[in-house]
Amino acid sequence: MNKQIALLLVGLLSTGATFGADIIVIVHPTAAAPTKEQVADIYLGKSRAYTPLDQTEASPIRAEFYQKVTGRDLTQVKSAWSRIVFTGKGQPPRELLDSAAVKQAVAADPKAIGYIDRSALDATVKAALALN
Amino acid sequence: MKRKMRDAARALALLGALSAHGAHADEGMSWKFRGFGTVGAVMTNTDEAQFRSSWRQTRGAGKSPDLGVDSRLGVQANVNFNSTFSAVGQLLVRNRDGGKRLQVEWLFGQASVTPWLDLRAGRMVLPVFLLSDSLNVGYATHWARAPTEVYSIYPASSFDGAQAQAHTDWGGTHFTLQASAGTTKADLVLFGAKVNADFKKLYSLNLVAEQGNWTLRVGDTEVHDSVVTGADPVPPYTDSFRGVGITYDNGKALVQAEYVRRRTSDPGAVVHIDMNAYYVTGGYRMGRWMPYATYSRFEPVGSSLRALGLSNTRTVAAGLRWDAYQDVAVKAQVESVQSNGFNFVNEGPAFFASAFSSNPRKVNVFTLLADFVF
Repeated sequence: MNKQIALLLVGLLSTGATFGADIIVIVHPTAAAPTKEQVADIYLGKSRAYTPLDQTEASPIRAEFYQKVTGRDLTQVKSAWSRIVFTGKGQPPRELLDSAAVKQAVAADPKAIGYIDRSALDATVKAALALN
Repeated sequence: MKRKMRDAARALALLGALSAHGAHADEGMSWKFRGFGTVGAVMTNTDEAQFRSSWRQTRGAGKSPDLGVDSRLGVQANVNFNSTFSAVGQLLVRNRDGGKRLQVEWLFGQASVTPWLDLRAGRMVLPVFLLSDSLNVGYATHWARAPTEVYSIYPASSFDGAQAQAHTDWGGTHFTLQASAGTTKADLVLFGAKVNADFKKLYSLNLVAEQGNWTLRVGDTEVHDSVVTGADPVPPYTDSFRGVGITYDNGKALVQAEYVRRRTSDPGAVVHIDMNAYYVTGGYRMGRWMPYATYSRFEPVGSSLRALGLSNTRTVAAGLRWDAYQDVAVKAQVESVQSNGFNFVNEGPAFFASAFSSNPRKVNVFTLLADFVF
C-alpha cells in the first residue's frame, strides 16, 4: 500500500516520467523535492543544497544514474570530482552498500539525497524524481 | 626554505597522525588521504633550446625525451575535525624553482562558519586562472598541459595568507566568490637570468558562476609591492592581473576559452612586464576517447617588451585523451610552439635572438603522458 502511494507520488511529481522508471531519487520526507537539474548540480559538486549519497562504484545503478541525470559517464564524473577534491573544496558523495542502505540513511537525515532501485522504495522516504 | 618545508611536512604528518587517532576516538572526526600525479615524456625537433611548461623551470625538453617538463606527484590530506573545522595539506613534487623538488603547495585550516561562508588561513591556491585550483591535477583536464602562453605568465600558484569563500545560489546559478590577501614568492629564469619574484601585498578577487553546462569565471589579482631581485634590480612595482574564462561542457562536447592581461606599473620605468594572452580549446568525447585541439596566443604589450623586439606568438596543439582505466588517463599531444622569449630555456644565441625578431622560431613539441588519481 505504502509502495503504491509512493509510486503515485513519483508519477505526480515527475511530469513526463513513466511508471517503468527503474531509479528513484529520494529525499527525507520533510525535504523539498529537487529538480533533475538540481540533482545533477548536487552530484557534480556544484550545489551544496543537499548531502548526496552514492552507491558503490561497481554497482550498475550508479553508472545508469549519472548517465541519466548528468549525461556523463563515471570517468567524467570522477574527473569533475577530482577538481573539487584536490582544491580542498569538498569530498565526493559518501558510498553506501546498496539501495536499502541509501534509503535508511536518507530516512534519517533531512539534508540527505540518494538514488535507489524502485523496488526498494517505501514511505520512509520521499520520492523526488523518477529516472527512466 | 628547506627548514620551512621540513616543518610543513612535519605538520602534515602530525595532521595525519592526529586524524588517524581521531578516526578511532571520535565519530565526528574523519580524515582522507588522496593523491594525483602525471608521468610523461616531452621531446622536440630541436636541440637549439629547451621547451618548458613554466617560467619556474630551469631546464626543459630537447630532441631526446625529457621527463621533467610535466611529471609531478601530489599527495593531499584532508582532516575534518567536526562539521565546522577542517584542514587540508598538499605536498607537490615537480621540477621547478631551480630544482627544489618537494614543495608544500598548500597547507591551510578552514572554518565553515555558515553553510555559505568558509574562512581559510595558511598556504592556499592563488585563484588567478579559470583552472588555477586544479592546474596540477592533469586527470581533471582534457589536455596534456594548460597552454603555457596563458598559464605561465603568472608564475605564482599559491600564496600565504587568508581567504574568505562565499557560496550562493541564485535562480539555478551557483556563485562562488573568493577574496584573498597575503604574500607569495617564485624563483624564475627569464632571458637567461635567475630572478626572484617577491609579491609582498597581494589581494585577489575571484568570482565563479556555474549554471548547467556553463562555467564563467572572472578574477582580479593586484600586488602592491612586487619586488624582483636578479640580474637587474627593479624598484618595487604594482602588478595587476585580470582574467576572464568560460567553459561549456555538455558531457560530450567541450569548448573553453580564457583571456588574461597582466599590467605592471614601475615608477623607475625599467621594465614593464605587460602582456595579454588567450586560448581557445575544444574537444569531443567518443566513449573513452577524446580528441581535442587548442590555439593559444601571447601578446607582449607596452613599451618594455615591445622595445626588446618581442612579437605576438602562437601555439597550435592537437591531442587525444584516452581514459585507459577508471583512474588513469593517457594523453598524446602534438604542437607547434612559437618561441616568445619565455617558453624556452637554455637557448642557443640564434634561437634566443629569434624571439626578439619579427619572425620567432617555431618548434614541434611531442608529449606522451599518463595522468592518474588515487
